[in-house]
Amino acid sequence: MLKSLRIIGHLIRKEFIQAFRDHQMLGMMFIMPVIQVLLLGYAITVDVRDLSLGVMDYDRSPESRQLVEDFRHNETFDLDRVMSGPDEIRDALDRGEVAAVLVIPRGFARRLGRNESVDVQLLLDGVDSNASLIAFNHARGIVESYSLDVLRKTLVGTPLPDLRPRIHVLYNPELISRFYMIPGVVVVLLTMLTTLMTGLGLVRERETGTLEQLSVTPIRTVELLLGKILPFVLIAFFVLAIALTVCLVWFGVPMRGSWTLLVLFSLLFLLNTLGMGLLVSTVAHTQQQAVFMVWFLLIFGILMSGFFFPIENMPLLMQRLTYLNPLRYFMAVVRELFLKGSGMMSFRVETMGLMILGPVAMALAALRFRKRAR
Amino acid sequence: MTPPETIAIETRELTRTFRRFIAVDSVSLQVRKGEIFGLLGANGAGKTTTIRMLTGLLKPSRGEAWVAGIPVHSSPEKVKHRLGYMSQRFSLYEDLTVAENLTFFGGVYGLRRPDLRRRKEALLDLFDLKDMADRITSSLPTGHRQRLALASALVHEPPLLFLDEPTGGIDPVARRTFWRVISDLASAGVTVMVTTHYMDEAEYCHRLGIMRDGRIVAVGSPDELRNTHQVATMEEVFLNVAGTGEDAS
Ligand SMILES: Nc1ncnc2c1ncn2[C@@H]1O[C@H](COP(=O)(O)OP(=O)(O)O)[C@@H](O)[C@H]1O
Ligand SMILES: [Mg+2]
Repeated sequence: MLKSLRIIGHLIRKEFIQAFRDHQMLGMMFIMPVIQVLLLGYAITVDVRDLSLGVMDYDRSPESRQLVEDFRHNETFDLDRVMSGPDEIRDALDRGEVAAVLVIPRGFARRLGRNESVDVQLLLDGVDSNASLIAFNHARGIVESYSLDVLRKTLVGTPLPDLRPRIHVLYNPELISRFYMIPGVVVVLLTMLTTLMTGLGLVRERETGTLEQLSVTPIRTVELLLGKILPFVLIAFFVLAIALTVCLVWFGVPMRGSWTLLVLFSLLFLLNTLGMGLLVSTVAHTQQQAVFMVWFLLIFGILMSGFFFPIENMPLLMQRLTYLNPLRYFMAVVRELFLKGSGMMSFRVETMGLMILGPVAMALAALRFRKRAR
Repeated sequence: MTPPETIAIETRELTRTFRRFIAVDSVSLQVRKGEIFGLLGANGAGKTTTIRMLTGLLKPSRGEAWVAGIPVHSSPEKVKHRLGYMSQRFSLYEDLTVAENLTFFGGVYGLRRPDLRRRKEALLDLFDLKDMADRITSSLPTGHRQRLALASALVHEPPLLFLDEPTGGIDPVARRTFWRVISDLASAGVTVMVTTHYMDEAEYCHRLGIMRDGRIVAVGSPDELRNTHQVATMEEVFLNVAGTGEDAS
């Protein structure tokens, strides 16, 4: 037992000496997280605002100008262009110069004055379906409240019922998508780093022949595997600390939950990513293969984690598959810890998922890894 | 059946196949304690495969291998703390220093601090690596790397040593020094199994096994082999039994 610890100690020491001797690697480990959180933190936002809007006003009446003003004052739209004919509308949309065009027909004011119904048209560039859906909802809101105003003016003196929603947004009242995305970025970063580093570890030793040299020593498989992953647990926590600092200090993301829980879940999650990395390194024959496998796993892991797209929106089969994805659980835990400050009891499914998948990955890796003769 | 005390290595019909290809074919050998036993043979003769089976790196397809009284064919892990192994390809950590490599391998063999320090000092001395102790391994000249590899294989003072083409690519002077250390070790009771394709090195071995296509085609001391074949040099012996003259390469 004591001897095992001593041997593992030597393995860890060796791993650290190697890591710190490789200056490029060191830079990758400590500077990359900062840059990544910063860049991705700014780049990845699903807020839709300042969509460029073109206006084609055939009516040119005070009423039509009022509707245009209403659009101008909405944050979603940015009135970029006043247009002069159908050709220009088509062109601007084709070239992507505007994302939406509001078309107000001739006779808009006249027909409103006669209490007739009028159509206004909104042309949307549907390439980014998410953005156009949001634009669509905002535009409908603007037009509906305009039409309500018209109704009020027509019926002055008549008492009208008034139903107004009082919406109270909890946890992220300003609906800043960054608060939701940045903790996710930290999760992705941690996953990439740890899976890749362990994934490459054993493969590199196999390529350089040092694994064979280790294999003639009496070292046991468990000792070797522990010696390979423990250094990365330490490094991972260091990187996590850096990334979280950027996240809290620079972006001002609130942390409402318990730090202890975050550390515990991180440990549990590392068991998963390190296990996955080890598994890769027992399957891959070359470092290139390892990188490719990790990359493949990561793409799936990230897309199916709910990082970009809510899991509830996926087809049922996909939703079921996400239960095999450790990222899914940790993503949920981190986001809820940060924004809601949820307690242990709300993470029962996540705890189970991580506690099952991690050891399974580790066990598979240990089984596949045969230090023993073949 | 366990071989007698005086036998350090014994193989019985040791065979290894890769798919349909027979790399080592029914090799039966005995190596006595303290003996330097050389495996000679052309490239692809099966020397490395034999050594890899004896060190527990490769499972025999058939046959038995006893090393230091331990049945390696059935319990390969048990023999590992008894043997030192130097692979034909340099396989220490290139990004560690000389001293760090020694510390690491000593540590992995379970040596405690005081022993570790003592062994490190002794080996750096023995192999004349003292002033190289803090050099990064990748920056060492070939001769020094070879010495370091041997030093690492000896860090836990194993009674058995397996050397796979230990002198490949180093100059004759360095080779002579290398062999002097090997001879000293053997005098001290260490059993050495070594492969080589340099004919002149055959002379340093107490006994030789010449391999061809996976089989042992001749065994004996250099003198015995020359006498049986009625020739003056090892080259001629080799030509007779292994079918090729010059270096095995
Ligand atoms: N892992 C392996 N898979 C398939 N063939 C192998 C493997 N290892 C060795 N061989 C083959 O076995 C034969 C003997 O190889 P080896 O023992 O390395 O010869 P030597 O060390 O005498 O040069 C060679 O033909 C080699 O190609
Ligand atoms: Mg060989």
